[in-house]
Amino acid sequence: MLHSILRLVCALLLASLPLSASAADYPDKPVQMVVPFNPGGGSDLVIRLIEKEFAREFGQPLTFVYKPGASGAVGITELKSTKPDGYTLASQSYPHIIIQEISGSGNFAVDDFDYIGMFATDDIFFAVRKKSRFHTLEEFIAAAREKPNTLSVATTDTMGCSHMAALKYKSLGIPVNLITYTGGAKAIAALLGGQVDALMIVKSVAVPALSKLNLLAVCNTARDALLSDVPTFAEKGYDIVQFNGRLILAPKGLPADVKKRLTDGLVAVYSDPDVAARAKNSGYDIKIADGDAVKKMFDDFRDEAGKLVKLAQSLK
Amino acid sequence: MDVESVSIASMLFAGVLETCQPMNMLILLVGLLVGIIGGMLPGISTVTSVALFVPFTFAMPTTTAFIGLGAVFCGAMYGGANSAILINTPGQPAAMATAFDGYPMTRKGKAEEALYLALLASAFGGIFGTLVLLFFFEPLSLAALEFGSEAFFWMGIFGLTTLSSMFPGQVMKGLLGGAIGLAISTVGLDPSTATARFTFGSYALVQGLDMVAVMIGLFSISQMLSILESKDEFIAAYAKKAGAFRAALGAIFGNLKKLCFSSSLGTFIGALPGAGGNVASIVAYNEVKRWDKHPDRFGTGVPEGVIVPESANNASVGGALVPLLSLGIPGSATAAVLAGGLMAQGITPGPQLMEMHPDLAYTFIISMLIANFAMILVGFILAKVCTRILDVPKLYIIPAVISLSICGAYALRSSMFDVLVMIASGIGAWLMLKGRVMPAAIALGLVLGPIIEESLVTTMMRAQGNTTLADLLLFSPLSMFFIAACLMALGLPWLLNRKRQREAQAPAAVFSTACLRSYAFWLVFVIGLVSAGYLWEALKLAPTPRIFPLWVSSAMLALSFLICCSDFFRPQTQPETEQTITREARRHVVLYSLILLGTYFVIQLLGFYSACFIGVLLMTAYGVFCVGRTPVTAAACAKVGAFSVCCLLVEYCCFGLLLRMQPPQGMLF
Repeated sequence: MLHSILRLVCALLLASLPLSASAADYPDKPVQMVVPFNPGGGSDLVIRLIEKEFAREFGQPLTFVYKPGASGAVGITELKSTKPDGYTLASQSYPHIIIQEISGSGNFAVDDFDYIGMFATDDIFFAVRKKSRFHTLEEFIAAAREKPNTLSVATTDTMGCSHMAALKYKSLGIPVNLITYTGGAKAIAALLGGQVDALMIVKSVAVPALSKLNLLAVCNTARDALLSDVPTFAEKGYDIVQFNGRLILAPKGLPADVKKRLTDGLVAVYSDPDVAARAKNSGYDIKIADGDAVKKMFDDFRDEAGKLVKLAQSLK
Repeated sequence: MDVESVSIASMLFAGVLETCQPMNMLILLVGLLVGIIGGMLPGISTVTSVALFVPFTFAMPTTTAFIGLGAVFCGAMYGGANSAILINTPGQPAAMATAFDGYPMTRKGKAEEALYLALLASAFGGIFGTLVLLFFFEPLSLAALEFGSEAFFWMGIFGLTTLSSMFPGQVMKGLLGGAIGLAISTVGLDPSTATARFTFGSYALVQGLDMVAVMIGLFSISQMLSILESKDEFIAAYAKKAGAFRAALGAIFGNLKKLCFSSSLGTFIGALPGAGGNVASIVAYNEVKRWDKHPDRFGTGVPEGVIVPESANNASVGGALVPLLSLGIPGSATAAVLAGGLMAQGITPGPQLMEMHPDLAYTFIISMLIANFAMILVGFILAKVCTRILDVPKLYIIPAVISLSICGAYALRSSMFDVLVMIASGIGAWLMLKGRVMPAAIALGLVLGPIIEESLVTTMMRAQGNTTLADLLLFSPLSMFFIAACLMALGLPWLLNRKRQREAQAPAAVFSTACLRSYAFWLVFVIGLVSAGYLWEALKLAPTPRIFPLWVSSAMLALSFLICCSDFFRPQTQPETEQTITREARRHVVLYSLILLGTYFVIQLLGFYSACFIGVLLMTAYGVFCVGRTPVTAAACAKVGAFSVCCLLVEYCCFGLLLRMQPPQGMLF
């Protein structure tokens, strides 16, 4: 009896599987999205944002699998060995993924994946607390130069975008003391509690605490659309450009037509004004770049990233 | 009354009305149920429960989503107590301290009373925390900000001092267990430089040994193996007694002072970003025990031992929301998930929520209050159902809990590696338990290790500037406060012990080699060897990542050396009370362990559910026919088969259908 039950269950399960998956009718079953972080984080939200629209566009829902560990490196390493049929995608960030290749914390190379594209960006701000004695970037840097290594700049991650921005800041010769925190919550608490003097913070993490922060500069070439009164580092004469780009990727070897279907569909979804409004509310800007542009971003950053990783290791 | 307080009062009233709408009330109850059941299952921690509920809230109106998420959070914090009390297996780390006295109560036949105590204390703590959130969130959030990394470091150390009084007469082994826990927490990427440590070239170890996976092994697997070798037929004798609820209610009202103390402690610790229910319950338990007139009675099944940690961990829920609502900083991992759920609704939690949508914020807080009252009702019914577990023979309970643990470990991060870690730590914990190195001590080290290391390294980084490390770590006011507290925590039991020893006139120690024949001696000897290897590996690391492992490995080495030495000088009148285990019981444990490992390997081949099914079938069959010596009849076989199918169905419904877990598929499914 047991076996017949088991066999019945198996048969039902088999029947639910599609017989063949041709690219023409892709997708004909739910698409699995690997989020290599805990639920509720940026990599999750940026996909959750389009959950409804994805189902409408592709006629199939997204299912979420969370594989957190080592800043996303663990989940992405596992993605490498999945089948490139377009039914397993993952959400990860630039620059984390290339830094993980360089530092070795990810067991992969960025070329092990096909990139559907980058769909949203998070600006990075240089922030102090409202009560701080510094009101402008100039004041902070002058004070830092006056008494080298007495002011501290915190980061919200190790070997992530916030850390990279802070390393770029330090490598410009501004003598500050870098302190890495594990997570935005701890870093903002340290800033507001006065344990550190400044913080490199991603916009989506800063937005909830905005009324308690004073943003001195943004690490980008143009001002942020939402927070347009914050000057860029470039305006102040410092070359610091860093942002967090939200990528969607698949294991290498995706059929060309599946990749095209995914790219076109996701571009359409993220171009939806509703999505853009919701994204803006959470601190993300919709900014779309295709797979080739993403690859170029990697190539442009690779040398500098190598130097920054070396700098970070020399500081310890 | 001024205008502002009138408007707040009216918003509170509106919040009550809003929460009591039928749809909201329904979601609130569903949320509680999901939370409590999730909290009860080993492996589904508070974070996971809330995270699993988040996707369901996308289709709800904002207020309803808020109410549902809050209810899950409350329920999950409480749910862990049920399994901690009934089978000594905390459903989630925050219920660890509840097991210390909860399970002894069950053994005494007071399971029902203990469950009600936990329920009422949880509701009390939850209401307390929410009221603090409502009235004092601004000052509390400012106080929490003063808590720098140095204070976190000392709070972690202070938590470790629990070890000195946790196992009377086994202080050294308690400390050794704690050190093992700390050591386990250092595997993986280090918090400051993200360099891989102690991975021996295996990529799977880079992600570290997941705290919850190890804890499931430490508690549920080792506990099941211990129950297996015991001679009892049931987990604990249990007879339904009238008036259990009234007795629990009486104990609650008799301990209001302790409850208020532990709840305020829990609320405060919950408000610290990075701490949370896990730390809150341990610290509260420890403090109440320390200041008790007879600290030794804790651990023997006293009501206070259940209500203190339970009120503290539920109070931490309100606390965790304090920094979220006042500063936009989630106070714990669960609060972060909750915040994510709210942001997906287009609502940004933080100070501007109070300014722009005060109605929403107050409805949320009010709904948490109502949820805590409703929890008493839902929990009461569930407690009645749960006590029935004690009527089931242990040979059925063991396979069910073990296979649920496998599912739970996989559900953590969808990782088969976590399942292996869970199994290995379970078997390891049982081996340690036999040598009196307690799993609870290891778990304590495991919870506190990351907090201590991270805050130590952060403090050192902060000290590179104009302040020295000593300024921060020794002479800042909070540090000095905690150092004094630690010294007192260590000194008090030592003084008491000395006094008692002087009264008892301990017999003189005599050198003997009898210990060479004891299992405990060789266990500690092996731990010593392992820690030497660990020390050697730690020396190879870069300066910053190696600091903490060096401390821990040195402590482990020193402790195991001291224990081994002192074993030679045992007073003869006090013979080593070896945990005797019959050869037959040992065979059962070995066989179950093998089945467990076999299940892990078969998963890759046959698929997750079929492997679990085979594992349960084998364990139950072996248990019933070989351990329980039931004659092999068709009826007995059918019973075993039906039970295994039931297990499979429950697991598939819970994890496959509800949680949408996507486990590895092999040839079958």
